[in-house]
Amino acid sequence: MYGMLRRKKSRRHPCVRAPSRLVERPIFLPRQGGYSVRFQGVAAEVQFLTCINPIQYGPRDFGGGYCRDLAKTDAGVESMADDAREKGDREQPQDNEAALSARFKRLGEQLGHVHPDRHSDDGTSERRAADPSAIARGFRLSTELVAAVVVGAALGWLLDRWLGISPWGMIVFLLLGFAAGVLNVMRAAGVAASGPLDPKQ
Amino acid sequence: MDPIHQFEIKNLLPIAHIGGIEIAFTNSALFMLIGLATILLLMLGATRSRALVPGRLQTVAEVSYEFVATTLRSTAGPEGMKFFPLVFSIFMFILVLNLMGIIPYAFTVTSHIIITVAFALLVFLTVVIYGFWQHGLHFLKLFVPSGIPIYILPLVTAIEVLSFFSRPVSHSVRLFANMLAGHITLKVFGGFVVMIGGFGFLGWLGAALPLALTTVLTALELLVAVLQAYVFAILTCIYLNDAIHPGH
Repeated sequence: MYGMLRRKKSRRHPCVRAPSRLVERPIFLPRQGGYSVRFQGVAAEVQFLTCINPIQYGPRDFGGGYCRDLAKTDAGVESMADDAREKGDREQPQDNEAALSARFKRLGEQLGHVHPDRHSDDGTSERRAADPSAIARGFRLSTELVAAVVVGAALGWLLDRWLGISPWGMIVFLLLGFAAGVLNVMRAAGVAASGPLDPKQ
Repeated sequence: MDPIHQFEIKNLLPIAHIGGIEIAFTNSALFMLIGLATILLLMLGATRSRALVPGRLQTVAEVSYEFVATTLRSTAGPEGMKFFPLVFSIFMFILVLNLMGIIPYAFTVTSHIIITVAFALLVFLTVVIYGFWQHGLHFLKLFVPSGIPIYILPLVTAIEVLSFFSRPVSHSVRLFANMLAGHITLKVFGGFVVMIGGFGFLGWLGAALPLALTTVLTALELLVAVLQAYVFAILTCIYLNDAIHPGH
Protein backbone atom coordinates (compact mmCIF):
# COMPACT_ATOMS: atom_id res chain seq x y z
CA MET A 1 0.00 0.00 0.00
CA TYR A 2 2.73 2.43 0.95
CA GLY A 3 4.66 1.51 -2.11
CA MET A 4 1.81 2.43 -4.42
CA LEU A 5 1.58 5.89 -2.95
CA ARG A 6 5.26 6.36 -3.32
CA ARG A 7 5.18 5.32 -6.92
CA LYS A 8 2.49 7.87 -7.68
CA LYS A 9 4.66 10.56 -6.21
CA SER A 10 7.69 9.71 -8.26
CA ARG A 11 5.67 9.64 -11.47
CA ARG A 12 4.73 13.26 -11.08
CA HIS A 13 8.23 14.43 -11.99
CA PRO A 14 9.53 11.62 -14.07
CA CYS A 15 12.97 12.81 -15.07
CA VAL A 16 14.29 14.17 -11.85
CA ARG A 17 17.54 12.46 -11.03
CA ALA A 18 18.71 14.86 -8.38
CA PRO A 19 20.03 13.95 -4.93
CA SER A 20 17.54 12.68 -2.43
CA ARG A 21 16.76 16.06 -0.94
CA LEU A 22 15.46 17.28 -4.25
CA VAL A 23 13.04 14.48 -4.95
CA GLU A 24 10.27 16.12 -3.03
CA ARG A 25 9.35 18.90 -5.47
CA PRO A 26 9.69 19.60 -9.17
CA ILE A 27 12.86 21.53 -9.62
CA PHE A 28 12.16 22.39 -13.24
CA LEU A 29 9.22 24.54 -12.16
CA PRO A 30 10.72 27.16 -9.89
CA ARG A 31 8.36 29.18 -7.78
CA GLN A 32 9.69 32.65 -8.39
CA GLY A 33 11.30 34.07 -11.48
CA GLY A 34 11.07 33.03 -15.11
CA TYR A 35 12.53 30.03 -16.81
CA SER A 36 15.11 31.96 -18.71
CA VAL A 37 16.72 33.30 -15.58
CA ARG A 38 16.52 30.08 -13.63
CA PHE A 39 17.89 27.81 -16.27
CA GLN A 40 20.85 29.85 -17.26
CA GLY A 41 23.16 27.80 -15.11
CA VAL A 42 22.10 24.54 -16.68
CA ALA A 43 24.18 23.69 -19.69
CA ALA A 44 22.03 21.00 -21.23
CA GLU A 45 18.56 22.32 -20.64
CA VAL A 46 17.07 20.59 -23.65
CA GLN A 47 18.10 17.17 -22.41
CA PHE A 48 17.06 18.18 -18.97
CA LEU A 49 13.48 18.81 -19.93
CA THR A 50 13.16 16.05 -22.49
CA CYS A 51 15.72 13.59 -21.31
CA ILE A 52 16.43 10.40 -23.23
CA ASN A 53 15.09 8.08 -20.62
CA PRO A 54 12.41 10.17 -19.04
CA ILE A 55 10.09 7.60 -17.55
CA GLN A 56 10.98 6.52 -14.10
CA TYR A 57 8.53 3.95 -12.85
CA GLY A 58 9.94 3.34 -9.46
CA PRO A 59 11.65 5.23 -6.72
CA ARG A 60 15.25 5.92 -7.66
CA ASP A 61 16.65 3.84 -4.82
CA PHE A 62 14.87 0.72 -5.97
CA GLY A 63 16.05 0.47 -9.53
CA GLY A 64 13.96 3.06 -11.29
CA GLY A 65 14.98 4.67 -14.53
CA TYR A 66 18.21 6.56 -14.92
CA CYS A 67 18.63 9.91 -16.57
CA ARG A 68 22.26 10.54 -17.41
CA ASP A 69 22.10 14.09 -18.66
CA LEU A 70 20.72 15.40 -15.46
CA ALA A 71 23.28 13.57 -13.39
CA LYS A 72 25.97 15.50 -15.20
CA THR A 73 24.40 18.80 -14.31
CA ASP A 74 23.73 17.74 -10.79
CA ALA A 75 25.61 20.49 -9.02
CA GLY A 76 24.12 23.22 -11.12
CA VAL A 77 20.62 22.04 -10.54
CA GLU A 78 21.14 21.83 -6.84
CA SER A 79 22.45 25.34 -6.48
CA MET A 80 19.79 26.67 -8.75
CA ALA A 81 16.97 24.97 -6.94
CA ASP A 82 18.18 25.78 -3.48
CA ASP A 83 16.22 28.98 -3.03
CA ALA A 84 13.08 27.46 -4.41
CA ARG A 85 13.10 24.89 -1.68
CA GLU A 86 10.48 24.94 0.98
CA LYS A 87 11.47 25.30 4.56
CA GLY A 88 9.96 21.99 5.58
CA ASP A 89 11.96 20.12 3.01
CA ARG A 90 15.20 21.57 4.16
CA GLU A 91 14.65 20.15 7.61
CA GLN A 92 14.22 16.66 6.22
CA PRO A 93 17.09 14.41 7.08
CA GLN A 94 19.34 13.35 4.28
CA ASP A 95 19.47 9.81 5.44
CA ASN A 96 17.20 7.79 3.20
CA GLU A 97 16.08 5.34 5.86
CA ALA A 98 15.15 8.07 8.30
CA ALA A 99 13.29 10.02 5.65
CA LEU A 100 11.41 6.92 4.60
CA SER A 101 10.37 6.02 8.12
CA ALA A 102 9.33 9.61 8.74
CA ARG A 103 7.14 9.46 5.67
CA PHE A 104 5.66 6.14 6.76
CA LYS A 105 4.86 7.70 10.09
CA ARG A 106 3.21 10.72 8.50
CA LEU A 107 1.26 8.48 6.15
CA GLY A 108 0.15 6.33 9.06
CA GLU A 109 -1.14 9.40 10.87
CA GLN A 110 -2.99 10.50 7.77
CA LEU A 111 -4.47 7.05 7.31
CA GLY A 112 -5.57 7.16 10.92
CA HIS A 113 -7.53 10.30 10.08
CA VAL A 114 -9.03 8.84 6.95
CA HIS A 115 -9.98 5.52 8.54
CA PRO A 116 -11.03 6.41 12.04
CA ASP A 117 -12.85 3.08 12.24
CA ARG A 118 -9.56 1.42 13.05
CA HIS A 119 -9.95 2.72 16.55
CA SER A 120 -13.68 3.22 16.70
CA ASP A 121 -15.95 1.59 19.22
CA ASP A 122 -19.09 2.05 17.19
CA GLY A 123 -20.93 -1.24 17.10
CA THR A 124 -23.46 -0.41 14.41
CA SER A 125 -20.93 0.32 11.69
CA GLU A 126 -19.65 -3.22 11.44
CA ARG A 127 -23.16 -4.53 11.63
CA ARG A 128 -23.88 -2.57 8.53
CA ALA A 129 -20.61 -3.68 7.01
CA ALA A 130 -21.65 -7.29 7.52
CA ASP A 131 -24.63 -6.80 5.24
CA PRO A 132 -23.37 -4.97 2.22
CA SER A 133 -26.31 -5.67 -0.05
CA ALA A 134 -30.01 -6.10 0.32
CA ILE A 135 -29.95 -9.74 -0.82
CA ALA A 136 -27.25 -10.65 1.65
CA ARG A 137 -29.11 -8.78 4.37
CA GLY A 138 -32.40 -10.51 3.70
CA PHE A 139 -30.72 -13.86 3.48
CA ARG A 140 -28.83 -13.28 6.68
CA LEU A 141 -31.98 -12.37 8.61
CA SER A 142 -33.92 -15.37 7.34
CA THR A 143 -31.14 -17.83 8.14
CA GLU A 144 -30.80 -16.38 11.62
CA LEU A 145 -34.47 -17.07 12.31
CA VAL A 146 -34.59 -20.49 10.70
CA ALA A 147 -31.36 -21.66 12.32
CA ALA A 148 -32.54 -20.84 15.83
CA VAL A 149 -35.90 -22.56 15.30
CA VAL A 150 -34.17 -25.64 13.87
CA VAL A 151 -31.72 -25.79 16.75
CA GLY A 152 -34.55 -25.44 19.23
CA ALA A 153 -36.54 -28.19 17.57
CA ALA A 154 -33.52 -30.51 17.43
CA LEU A 155 -32.70 -29.93 21.10
CA GLY A 156 -36.32 -30.52 22.08
CA TRP A 157 -36.48 -33.72 20.07
CA LEU A 158 -33.26 -35.03 21.61
CA LEU A 159 -34.47 -34.21 25.14
CA ASP A 160 -37.75 -35.97 24.40
CA ARG A 161 -35.90 -39.08 23.33
CA TRP A 162 -33.43 -39.12 26.24
CA LEU A 163 -35.80 -38.18 29.02
CA GLY A 164 -39.00 -39.69 27.66
CA ILE A 165 -41.09 -36.56 28.22
CA SER A 166 -42.45 -36.90 24.78
CA PRO A 167 -44.24 -33.77 23.63
CA TRP A 168 -43.01 -31.31 26.25
CA GLY A 169 -39.36 -30.94 25.31
CA MET A 170 -40.30 -30.29 21.72
CA ILE A 171 -42.99 -27.76 22.66
CA VAL A 172 -40.83 -25.81 25.09
CA PHE A 173 -37.68 -25.79 23.02
CA LEU A 174 -39.46 -24.97 19.78
CA LEU A 175 -40.91 -21.91 21.47
CA LEU A 176 -37.57 -21.02 22.99
CA GLY A 177 -35.93 -21.50 19.62
CA PHE A 178 -38.44 -19.19 18.02
CA ALA A 179 -37.76 -16.57 20.68
CA ALA A 180 -34.02 -16.96 20.15
CA GLY A 181 -34.56 -16.66 16.40
CA VAL A 182 -36.48 -13.42 16.76
CA LEU A 183 -33.77 -12.15 19.09
CA ASN A 184 -31.10 -13.11 16.55
CA VAL A 185 -32.95 -11.35 13.75
CA MET A 186 -33.47 -8.21 15.78
CA ARG A 187 -29.80 -8.18 16.72
CA ALA A 188 -28.64 -8.81 13.19
CA ALA A 189 -30.86 -6.00 11.97
CA GLY A 190 -29.58 -3.74 14.72
CA VAL A 191 -33.10 -3.20 16.06
CA ALA A 192 -32.74 -4.83 19.47
CA ALA A 193 -30.74 -3.30 22.25
CA SER A 194 -27.42 -5.06 22.23
CA GLY A 195 -27.27 -8.01 24.56
CA PRO A 196 -24.38 -10.01 25.91
CA LEU A 197 -23.96 -11.78 22.61
CA ASP A 198 -23.50 -8.53 20.80
CA PRO A 199 -19.91 -7.76 19.91
CA LYS A 200 -19.86 -4.21 21.22
CA GLN A 201 -22.00 -2.54 23.78
CA MET B 1 -29.66 -31.29 -17.90
CA ASP B 2 -30.12 -32.33 -14.33
CA PRO B 3 -29.36 -29.20 -12.28
CA ILE B 4 -28.28 -31.27 -9.26
CA HIS B 5 -25.85 -33.38 -11.24
CA GLN B 6 -23.08 -30.82 -10.82
CA PHE B 7 -22.98 -31.42 -7.06
CA GLU B 8 -22.42 -35.15 -7.33
CA ILE B 9 -19.46 -36.52 -5.41
CA LYS B 10 -17.35 -38.89 -7.45
CA ASN B 11 -14.75 -41.21 -6.07
CA LEU B 12 -11.59 -40.64 -8.00
CA LEU B 13 -9.23 -42.77 -5.97
CA PRO B 14 -10.34 -45.21 -3.29
CA ILE B 15 -7.98 -45.08 -0.35
CA ALA B 16 -9.30 -47.31 2.41
CA HIS B 17 -12.31 -48.91 4.06
CA ILE B 18 -12.46 -48.23 7.76
CA GLY B 19 -15.33 -49.87 9.63
CA GLY B 20 -17.49 -50.11 6.54
CA ILE B 21 -16.98 -46.45 5.66
CA GLU B 22 -15.27 -45.86 2.40
CA ILE B 23 -12.56 -43.27 2.44
CA ALA B 24 -11.70 -42.06 -1.01
CA PHE B 25 -10.10 -39.20 -2.83
CA THR B 26 -13.12 -37.46 -4.33
CA ASN B 27 -13.58 -34.65 -6.81
CA SER B 28 -14.37 -32.43 -3.83
CA ALA B 29 -10.99 -33.21 -2.29
CA LEU B 30 -9.35 -32.64 -5.65
CA PHE B 31 -10.82 -29.16 -5.97
CA MET B 32 -9.90 -28.36 -2.38
CA LEU B 33 -6.32 -29.27 -3.21
CA ILE B 34 -6.46 -27.16 -6.36
CA GLY B 35 -7.79 -24.24 -4.33
CA LEU B 36 -5.06 -24.70 -1.75
CA ALA B 37 -2.41 -24.83 -4.46
CA THR B 38 -3.85 -21.66 -6.04
CA ILE B 39 -3.66 -19.79 -2.75
CA LEU B 40 -0.17 -21.06 -2.04
CA LEU B 41 1.09 -20.10 -5.48
CA LEU B 42 -0.59 -16.71 -5.30
CA MET B 43 0.75 -15.86 -1.87
CA LEU B 44 4.22 -17.30 -2.34
CA GLY B 45 4.55 -15.71 -5.76
CA ALA B 46 3.26 -12.41 -4.48
CA THR B 47 5.59 -12.21 -1.52
CA ARG B 48 8.65 -13.51 -3.31
CA SER B 49 9.89 -10.18 -4.61
CA ARG B 50 9.01 -8.17 -1.48
CA ALA B 51 9.28 -4.94 -3.43
CA LEU B 52 8.53 -1.61 -1.82
CA VAL B 53 6.64 -0.79 -4.98
CA PRO B 54 4.28 -3.75 -5.34
CA GLY B 55 3.67 -5.44 -8.63
CA ARG B 56 0.25 -6.71 -9.61
CA LEU B 57 0.49 -9.97 -7.69
CA GLN B 58 1.94 -8.33 -4.64
CA THR B 59 -0.85 -5.76 -4.70
CA VAL B 60 -3.39 -8.56 -4.62
CA ALA B 61 -1.71 -10.07 -1.59
CA GLU B 62 -1.37 -6.71 0.15
CA VAL B 63 -4.96 -5.73 -0.53
CA SER B 64 -6.31 -9.02 0.79
CA TYR B 65 -4.11 -8.77 3.86
CA GLU B 66 -5.17 -5.20 4.58
CA PHE B 67 -8.80 -6.08 3.99
CA VAL B 68 -8.91 -8.97 6.43
CA ALA B 69 -6.73 -7.18 8.97
CA THR B 70 -8.95 -4.08 8.93
CA THR B 71 -12.09 -6.17 9.27
CA LEU B 72 -10.65 -8.15 12.16
CA ARG B 73 -9.26 -5.11 13.92
CA SER B 74 -12.46 -3.11 13.68
CA THR B 75 -14.64 -6.03 14.79
CA ALA B 76 -12.64 -7.83 17.46
CA GLY B 77 -10.24 -5.10 18.48
CA PRO B 78 -6.45 -5.18 18.31
CA GLU B 79 -6.36 -8.34 20.47
CA GLY B 80 -8.22 -10.11 17.70
CA MET B 81 -5.13 -9.99 15.50
CA LYS B 82 -3.87 -13.17 17.16
CA PHE B 83 -6.64 -14.92 15.23
CA PHE B 84 -5.56 -13.34 11.97
CA PRO B 85 -4.07 -16.56 10.52
CA LEU B 86 -7.35 -18.40 11.14
CA VAL B 87 -9.57 -15.70 9.68
CA PHE B 88 -7.31 -15.06 6.71
CA SER B 89 -7.05 -18.78 5.89
CA ILE B 90 -10.80 -19.23 6.10
CA PHE B 91 -11.48 -16.14 4.03
CA MET B 92 -9.00 -16.99 1.28
CA PHE B 93 -9.98 -20.65 1.13
CA ILE B 94 -13.71 -19.93 0.86
CA LEU B 95 -13.13 -17.10 -1.58
CA VAL B 96 -11.00 -19.20 -3.90
CA LEU B 97 -13.32 -22.22 -3.69
CA ASN B 98 -16.37 -20.02 -4.40
CA LEU B 99 -14.71 -18.34 -7.35
CA MET B 100 -13.46 -21.63 -8.77
CA GLY B 101 -17.00 -22.95 -8.64
CA ILE B 102 -18.13 -20.42 -11.24
CA ILE B 103 -15.74 -21.85 -13.83
CA PRO B 104 -17.70 -24.25 -16.04
CA TYR B 105 -17.17 -27.94 -15.24
CA ALA B 106 -15.51 -27.04 -11.97
CA PHE B 107 -16.84 -28.48 -8.76
CA THR B 108 -18.18 -26.09 -6.13
CA VAL B 109 -16.80 -27.41 -2.87
CA THR B 110 -18.66 -24.89 -0.71
CA SER B 111 -22.04 -26.00 -2.06
CA HIS B 112 -21.85 -29.07 0.22
CA ILE B 113 -23.11 -28.44 3.71
CA ILE B 114 -20.64 -30.83 5.28
CA ILE B 115 -17.80 -28.53 4.20
CA THR B 116 -19.42 -25.34 5.49
CA VAL B 117 -20.43 -27.07 8.72
CA ALA B 118 -16.83 -28.09 9.20
CA PHE B 119 -15.75 -24.46 8.78
CA ALA B 120 -18.48 -23.18 11.09
CA LEU B 121 -17.73 -25.79 13.75
CA LEU B 122 -14.05 -24.94 13.56
CA VAL B 123 -14.91 -21.33 14.36
CA PHE B 124 -17.49 -22.31 16.99
CA LEU B 125 -15.13 -24.66 18.80
CA THR B 126 -12.33 -22.11 18.62
CA VAL B 127 -14.63 -19.58 20.28
CA VAL B 128 -15.76 -22.01 23.00
CA ILE B 129 -12.33 -23.47 23.75
CA TYR B 130 -10.50 -20.14 23.68
CA GLY B 131 -13.25 -18.52 25.75
CA PHE B 132 -13.10 -21.13 28.50
CA TRP B 133 -9.31 -21.31 28.38
CA GLN B 134 -8.89 -17.57 28.65
CA HIS B 135 -11.77 -16.60 30.94
CA GLY B 136 -12.71 -19.84 32.70
CA LEU B 137 -16.26 -19.86 33.96
CA HIS B 138 -16.52 -16.13 33.37
CA PHE B 139 -17.08 -17.08 29.76
CA LEU B 140 -20.56 -18.20 30.82
CA LYS B 141 -21.40 -14.60 31.65
CA LEU B 142 -21.99 -14.39 27.93
CA PHE B 143 -25.35 -16.04 28.53
CA VAL B 144 -26.41 -13.99 31.55
CA PRO B 145 -27.33 -10.45 30.65
CA SER B 146 -26.95 -7.92 33.41
CA GLY B 147 -29.85 -5.88 34.69
CA ILE B 148 -32.50 -8.55 34.17
CA PRO B 149 -35.05 -9.28 36.95
CA ILE B 150 -34.33 -12.60 38.64
CA TYR B 151 -37.71 -14.20 37.84
CA ILE B 152 -37.19 -13.82 34.11
CA LEU B 153 -33.46 -14.59 34.12
CA PRO B 154 -33.74 -18.39 33.51
CA LEU B 155 -35.89 -17.81 30.46
CA VAL B 156 -33.58 -15.15 29.03
CA THR B 157 -30.54 -17.32 29.71
CA ALA B 158 -32.16 -20.26 27.94
CA ILE B 159 -32.90 -18.06 24.95
CA GLU B 160 -29.35 -16.75 24.92
CA VAL B 161 -27.94 -20.28 25.06
CA LEU B 162 -30.14 -21.35 22.16
CA SER B 163 -29.14 -18.23 20.27
CA PHE B 164 -25.50 -19.15 20.84
CA PHE B 165 -25.97 -22.70 19.63
CA SER B 166 -27.85 -21.56 16.56
CA ARG B 167 -24.79 -19.65 15.39
CA PRO B 168 -22.86 -22.45 13.69
CA VAL B 169 -26.10 -23.50 11.97
CA SER B 170 -26.85 -20.12 10.45
CA HIS B 171 -23.16 -19.54 9.82
CA SER B 172 -22.83 -22.68 7.72
CA VAL B 173 -26.28 -22.74 6.13
CA ARG B 174 -25.88 -19.23 4.77
CA LEU B 175 -22.77 -20.01 2.75
CA PHE B 176 -23.97 -23.43 1.64
CA ALA B 177 -27.46 -22.29 0.59
CA ASN B 178 -26.17 -19.26 -1.29
CA MET B 179 -23.76 -21.31 -3.34
CA LEU B 180 -26.20 -24.16 -3.92
CA ALA B 181 -29.11 -21.93 -4.94
CA GLY B 182 -26.98 -19.78 -7.21
CA HIS B 183 -25.49 -22.71 -9.06
CA ILE B 184 -28.82 -24.47 -9.46
CA THR B 185 -30.35 -21.27 -10.87
CA LEU B 186 -27.49 -20.92 -13.31
CA LYS B 187 -27.88 -24.52 -14.42
CA VAL B 188 -31.66 -24.23 -14.83
CA PHE B 189 -31.40 -21.14 -17.00
CA GLY B 190 -28.58 -22.74 -18.96
CA GLY B 191 -30.89 -25.72 -19.51
CA PHE B 192 -33.61 -23.40 -20.80
CA VAL B 193 -31.25 -22.10 -23.47
CA VAL B 194 -30.64 -25.60 -24.79
CA MET B 195 -34.30 -26.67 -24.52
CA ILE B 196 -35.79 -23.62 -26.23
CA GLY B 197 -32.96 -23.57 -28.74
CA GLY B 198 -34.02 -27.02 -29.90
CA PHE B 199 -37.17 -25.61 -31.55
CA GLY B 200 -35.40 -24.30 -34.63
CA PHE B 201 -34.94 -20.69 -35.70
CA LEU B 202 -37.74 -19.23 -33.54
CA GLY B 203 -36.35 -21.27 -30.71
CA TRP B 204 -32.97 -19.63 -31.06
CA LEU B 205 -34.66 -16.22 -30.90
CA GLY B 206 -36.50 -17.27 -27.76
CA ALA B 207 -33.36 -18.70 -26.24
CA ALA B 208 -31.75 -15.29 -26.30
CA LEU B 209 -33.66 -14.27 -23.20
CA PRO B 210 -32.49 -17.06 -20.87
CA LEU B 211 -29.02 -16.69 -22.37
CA ALA B 212 -28.94 -13.04 -21.38
CA LEU B 213 -30.26 -13.96 -17.95
CA THR B 214 -27.54 -16.59 -17.57
CA THR B 215 -24.94 -13.96 -18.35
CA VAL B 216 -26.37 -11.61 -15.76
CA LEU B 217 -26.67 -14.42 -13.24
CA THR B 218 -23.03 -15.35 -13.75
CA ALA B 219 -22.06 -11.82 -12.82
CA LEU B 220 -24.36 -12.02 -9.83
CA GLU B 221 -22.76 -15.32 -8.84
CA LEU B 222 -19.38 -13.63 -8.94
CA LEU B 223 -20.70 -11.03 -6.52
CA VAL B 224 -22.26 -13.67 -4.28
CA ALA B 225 -19.05 -15.70 -4.23
CA VAL B 226 -17.00 -12.77 -2.96
CA LEU B 227 -19.76 -11.50 -0.69
CA GLN B 228 -20.34 -14.81 1.03
CA ALA B 229 -16.64 -15.29 1.68
CA TYR B 230 -16.61 -11.82 3.20
CA VAL B 231 -19.75 -12.42 5.28
CA PHE B 232 -18.33 -15.70 6.55
CA ALA B 233 -15.11 -13.95 7.53
CA ILE B 234 -16.78 -11.01 9.25
CA LEU B 235 -19.13 -13.28 11.19
CA THR B 236 -16.09 -15.29 12.24
CA CYS B 237 -14.62 -12.04 13.53
CA ILE B 238 -17.82 -11.12 15.39
CA TYR B 239 -17.97 -14.54 17.03
CA LEU B 240 -14.28 -14.46 17.93
CA ASN B 241 -14.90 -11.12 19.58
CA ASP B 242 -17.16 -12.89 22.08
CA ALA B 243 -14.37 -15.27 22.99
CA ILE B 244 -11.99 -12.36 23.51
CA HIS B 245 -14.37 -10.04 25.40
CA PRO B 246 -17.16 -12.15 26.95
CA GLY B 247 -17.80 -9.79 29.84
CA HIS B 248 -19.20 -6.98 27.76
